[in-house]
Amino acid sequence: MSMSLPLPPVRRWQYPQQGDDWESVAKRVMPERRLEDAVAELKKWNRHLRYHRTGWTPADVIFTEGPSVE
Amino acid sequence: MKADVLIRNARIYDGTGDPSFMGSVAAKDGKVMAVGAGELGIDAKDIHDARGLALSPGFIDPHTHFDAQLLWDGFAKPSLEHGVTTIVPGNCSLSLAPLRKEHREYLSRTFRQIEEMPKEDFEKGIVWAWENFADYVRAVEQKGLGINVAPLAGHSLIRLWVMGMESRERVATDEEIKQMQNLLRECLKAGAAGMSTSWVDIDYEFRPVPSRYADYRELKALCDVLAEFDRPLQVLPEIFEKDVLRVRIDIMAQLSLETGISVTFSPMFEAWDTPDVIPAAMERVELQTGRGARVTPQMQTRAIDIVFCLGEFVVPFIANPQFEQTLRTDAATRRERFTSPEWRAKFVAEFEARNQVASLTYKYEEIQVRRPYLEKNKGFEGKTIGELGQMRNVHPVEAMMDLALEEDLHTLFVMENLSHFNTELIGEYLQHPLMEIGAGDGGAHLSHFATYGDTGYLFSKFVRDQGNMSVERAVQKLTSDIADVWRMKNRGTIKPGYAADLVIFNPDTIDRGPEIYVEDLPAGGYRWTREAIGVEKVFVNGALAYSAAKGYTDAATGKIICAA
Repeated sequence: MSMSLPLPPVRRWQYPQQGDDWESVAKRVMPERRLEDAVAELKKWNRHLRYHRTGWTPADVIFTEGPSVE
Repeated sequence: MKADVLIRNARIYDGTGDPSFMGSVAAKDGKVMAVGAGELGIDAKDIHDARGLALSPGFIDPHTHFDAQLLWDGFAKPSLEHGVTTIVPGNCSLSLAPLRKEHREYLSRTFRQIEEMPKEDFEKGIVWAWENFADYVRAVEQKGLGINVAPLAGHSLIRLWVMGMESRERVATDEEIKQMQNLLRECLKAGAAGMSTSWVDIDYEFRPVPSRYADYRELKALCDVLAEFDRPLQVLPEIFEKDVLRVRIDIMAQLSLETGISVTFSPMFEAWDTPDVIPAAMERVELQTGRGARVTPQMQTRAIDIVFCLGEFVVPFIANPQFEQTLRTDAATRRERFTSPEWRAKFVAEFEARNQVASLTYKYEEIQVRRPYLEKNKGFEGKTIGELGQMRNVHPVEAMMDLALEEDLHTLFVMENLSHFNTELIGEYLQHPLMEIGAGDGGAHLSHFATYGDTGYLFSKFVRDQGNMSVERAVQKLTSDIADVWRMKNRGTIKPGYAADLVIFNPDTIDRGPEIYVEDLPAGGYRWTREAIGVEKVFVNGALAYSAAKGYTDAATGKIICAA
């Protein structure tokens, strides 16, 4: 198998860590922002998680930046 | 040497995509013995004249859920009638083995909910005679297989076996991952054609299925085992959100590059409200393919239609919480709410607010009456609830509830062309060299739509009507391309030494028939199905299994294709 340089991701993202919720992720990725604003921003960037009724799974994708302009 | 079967005077489309030619094919002991232009000069016990007809390898259906049906129907009807000679059940992290006895209830309820199978027929049709994969394979084979089967081992079941119900709560330990690897090896040795996983499904308690709690290290470890056997991984990713899907493509590519395996994901739907998803996804697939990854998306040919009744839960209403919740209650509660002015107002408000069915934007007033229950209401068949509402001077949603109440909740409604109906765009996508044709869901969603006939529709719509591809290319897409993705050895091409899975069909007429209602499930339940048009004869491992003229034969020559 061949492997060239990795492709840059389309958007920065991460898997949730154990015990994570919106606030803990917001504090981690946007420590400089007001928590309430950071959480709101995260939720806007991650609408695909809105149907999750029982919390996140370790395999979920959480975007830590907004969509790129294409 | 005398052949078992000789097919003469056929226009042969050998599955390679090369130009067709007039010729003959001979088969012996289940394999193609010879293929060539004109006459072969070989005698055979069974000779078929295919004058005026096409001969191709049998079609492969890579995304099915025939796991349960195979236990009462070794032909996976009506697959063979449509020219399909190999099916792949066990997709989306769900198979029926390996499964400990204590988890049967959990898996049954989850499997039935996700794949929408009626409880009574599922329970009557399945005699639980296995726990491990080998015994499941034996249970499938024991009544005689008329079709080839490449069953997948579901990742959710592998986690469930090792971790029990904690598989729905946490990542696995290193020791548990080792146990999963050993378990997967056993499954592969017993005939599993690969593994399936899901990043999307929820179980009957609305919790993520076990596979969704697997981290990358677990997936990678299991893919290392798949690599030992050169077997693929099938994935159900988030398909409606462009950026999430691209991230998932990157993850699948990483798995493929790190282990060397083939990864296929399904389904891909064209939706008018998210038109940029597929182009973005295909661009990412192309980029990753250029790096050496083997990541192949699947797309079905047919539009998404869903038949439903208000007597049962229906997945598409998941975005209308109060209506959806009502469909989960008992019949008495449903009737009470459908009659209550207060509840009716809530339902109307929900439909007005979202006008959205799941992730597929759909105008609710276009819901049609598919099959009235009472004879006196037959005139409503084909009418939209918008029209019914006008006739009765009520809101369309109320008209739908009123008709359903009048018919004791037995009325069948349909949402036609929910999505994936822009055939012009779909034709372009299906042409793409990296797009696999599949995602049909054969054997699932029985009371909601017919999952058969996608192969015939490929020819009628995308070959003959729209000219998106030649017959040669369509055959290649349905045979050797799929065999390559799924690492199926010696299948999918008409070539000496390859399995003699063959279809004789009329390329000018092959098609799917209209969707029809049949009551042929084990407990008398119904399903939607389609008859085939233009498929004349189907051979499985060198024996005639089905003909349009005489129906199914007694030949039970289907195999578990990866069995030792």
